[in-house]
Amino acid sequence: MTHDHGNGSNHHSHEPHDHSHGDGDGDEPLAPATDLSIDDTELSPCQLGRRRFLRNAGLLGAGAATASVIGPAVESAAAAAERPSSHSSGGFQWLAGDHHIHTQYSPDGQYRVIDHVRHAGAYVLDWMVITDHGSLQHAKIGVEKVNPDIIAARREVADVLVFQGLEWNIPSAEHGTVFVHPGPNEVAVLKAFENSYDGVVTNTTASSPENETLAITGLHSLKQAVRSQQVHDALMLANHPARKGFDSPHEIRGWRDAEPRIAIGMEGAPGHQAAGIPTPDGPGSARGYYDYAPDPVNSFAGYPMESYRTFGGFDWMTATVGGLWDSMLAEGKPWWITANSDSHQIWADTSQRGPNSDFTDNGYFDDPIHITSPQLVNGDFWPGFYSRTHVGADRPGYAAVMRAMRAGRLWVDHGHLVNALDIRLRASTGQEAPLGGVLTAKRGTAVSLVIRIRTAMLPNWSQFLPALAKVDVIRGLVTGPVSDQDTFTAPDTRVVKSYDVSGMSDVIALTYPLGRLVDGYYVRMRGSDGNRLAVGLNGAAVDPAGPAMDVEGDADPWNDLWFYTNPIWAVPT
Amino acid sequence: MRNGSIVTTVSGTDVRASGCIPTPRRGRGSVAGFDVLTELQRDADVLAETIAAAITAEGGGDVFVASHPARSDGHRHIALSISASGVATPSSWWDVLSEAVDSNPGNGIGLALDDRYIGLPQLREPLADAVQAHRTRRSGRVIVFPGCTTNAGTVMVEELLATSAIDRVRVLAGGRADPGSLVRTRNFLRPRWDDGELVLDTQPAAGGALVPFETPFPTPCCQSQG
Repeated sequence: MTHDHGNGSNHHSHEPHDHSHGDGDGDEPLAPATDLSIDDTELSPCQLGRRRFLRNAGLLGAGAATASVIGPAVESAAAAAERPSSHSSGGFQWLAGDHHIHTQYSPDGQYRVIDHVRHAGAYVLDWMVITDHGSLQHAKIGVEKVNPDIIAARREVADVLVFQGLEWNIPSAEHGTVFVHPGPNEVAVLKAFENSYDGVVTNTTASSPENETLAITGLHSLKQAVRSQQVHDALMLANHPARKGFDSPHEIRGWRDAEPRIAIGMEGAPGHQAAGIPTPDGPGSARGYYDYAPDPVNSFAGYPMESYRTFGGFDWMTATVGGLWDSMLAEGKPWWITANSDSHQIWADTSQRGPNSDFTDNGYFDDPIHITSPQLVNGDFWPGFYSRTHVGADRPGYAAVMRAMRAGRLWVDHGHLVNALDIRLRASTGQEAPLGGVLTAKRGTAVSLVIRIRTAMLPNWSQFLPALAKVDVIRGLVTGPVSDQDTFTAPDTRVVKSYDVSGMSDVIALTYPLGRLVDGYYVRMRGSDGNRLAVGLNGAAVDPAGPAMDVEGDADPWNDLWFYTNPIWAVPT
Repeated sequence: MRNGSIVTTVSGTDVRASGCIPTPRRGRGSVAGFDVLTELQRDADVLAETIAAAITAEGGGDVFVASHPARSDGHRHIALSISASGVATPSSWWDVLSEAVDSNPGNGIGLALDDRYIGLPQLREPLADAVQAHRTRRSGRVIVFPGCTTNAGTVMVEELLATSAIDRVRVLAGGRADPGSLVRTRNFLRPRWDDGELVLDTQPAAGGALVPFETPFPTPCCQSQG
């Protein structure tokens, strides 16, 4: 095992229906004030007052996901009591996963479910989501036929949690992962959702206000499927969000605000990370296949050209300090990032699609066959091979993974750059908040960012030991909800500290003093192998040494490795 | 004029041409607007090239055809704007464009030239915007321009500036273009007007060359919108 599991356990419960452990639908005991699924009119006066306070503070939403905003002291006390405080990974089991994987049931896929799951297991992933493209064939055939394959894989590869999901063609927008907790209705819920709300199935991909509304309605339907207990839980994340400029800022905010417990985030880094390997050794394309230009009909006109490219393998929305992601975090609302493989066809693999397949009629490609020649034109890696989304679960199991994702206990890395992270905000009073959390403390309380990084101890899957060279602390002011929903800048966010950690190994322990708490803010972190650095798009005063724009046709992904964490907020009472 | 003396200057991170390539002069000459409710950029490109060929056959001189995002009744589509230095009279323009209209039967059309307009009433205003953007060189993705086809293969930045209507080569994300930098054109140049200049956006590519921001063959996406 190359990764740290916090409590030392790498054994999961693989019972899809884990009622007895109280996982239920993944809800934490939230105060109604912070649960945006409860309408104002349904709240007690006391709760309504509470909600208004939070809303005015610009913090409603963050609390809805984490609960920390309403009771950090309680949470912290519980953490102190129940979690081993000395633990390097914050008392959580950090489970690596991937929520974006295609199989032979996608019109551009190739592999069996079991091919992906066995590779994911070998590359030490703990959880994964099968997300074939929404399509007429998939809605009719694939969504059902893939299910027995998934159930069999759950049995055959006992170390990996396998969720069934869908790559949703979001009406009026890009693609997104939709997935549900396993259960007897997982197919029925996904199928109904696909038939009613998939942009390709319903011919609603084109950008229009009506189609934008349909996307929101689709998210409501997922919430309803959970509320009516058809499935225990459901989540949605936007995939490759800046690739074509289709996801406007107001659409992303619209999903988040409509169903904050369903629509929880986006890919911080897209898949297809091998696509930039130079010819003849690779596809010689753009990293992530980010080689598009604005579409005059469907793209959001306000995005700059740089938004269509990757930076250090990451999507512009995430890679830009003071950019779109920060503008959402500065609102005080949760929106998390992930990193996935988007595996379709694997770079240098020696197989090809089943010959003479008839996808149109059958809804799947026949099983792949061996070929002698390694397929260097393929642009993807196996799940777990390169991109990882680390989830801080409080226990093993499907529900806990989904709950941790909703809570934002997530960090991501490429090329297995680091082994484990433990990042907390700590008040001088002893209160703490983990990734995705909110530290509330009295105005004037001293706050520190406490950082423990366990460096890579074993070689990665390109057979070298990645070396972390620098670590950055990014801090942004919480300025409250934006009036212009298409805002994509956060002028009060910048890199406030960079640590040179070259040559350090084992555990890197750092404490960054954030001063006395006056105005609400958030911090997030990122780190790099230091190989490709450039001044950020908002200038050196904001980001003096951030990720460089990837070079088209010459982007060896193993020579440009980054990790990113999700944020932690600090709010004065 | 094309081969007249060219001075390239480096300003910031961009390379500019101070040259003598004819460009549509602001506020003068006829600019036509043409709209067949095209939704796909590649269809707009084909249409632009067809129109340019017809106008060139009429002695069009320096022909510019640009595309513009347009909206009518909430419907987003692409409008074209056209100028040609060598077309003698507006009436011969009208004939050429009318023929192009006839060969593009579709959902509806709009054709504007000077004070004349035929077509759907709701296209009149977006076409007027497109024409104005072209006339002032304020905005527009330029498909046909002097030098657009002669700069094939790989060319130096200074050569590109000297032999085309492009005024400036910009590199994305604050990158730097030198006069001697190589641009691998992929035989596909789509500069844009920006505040009076014709700007070619480029990005770093394999082998140390630059490539235009827009590629002729973006990765096919199995479920794309367009």
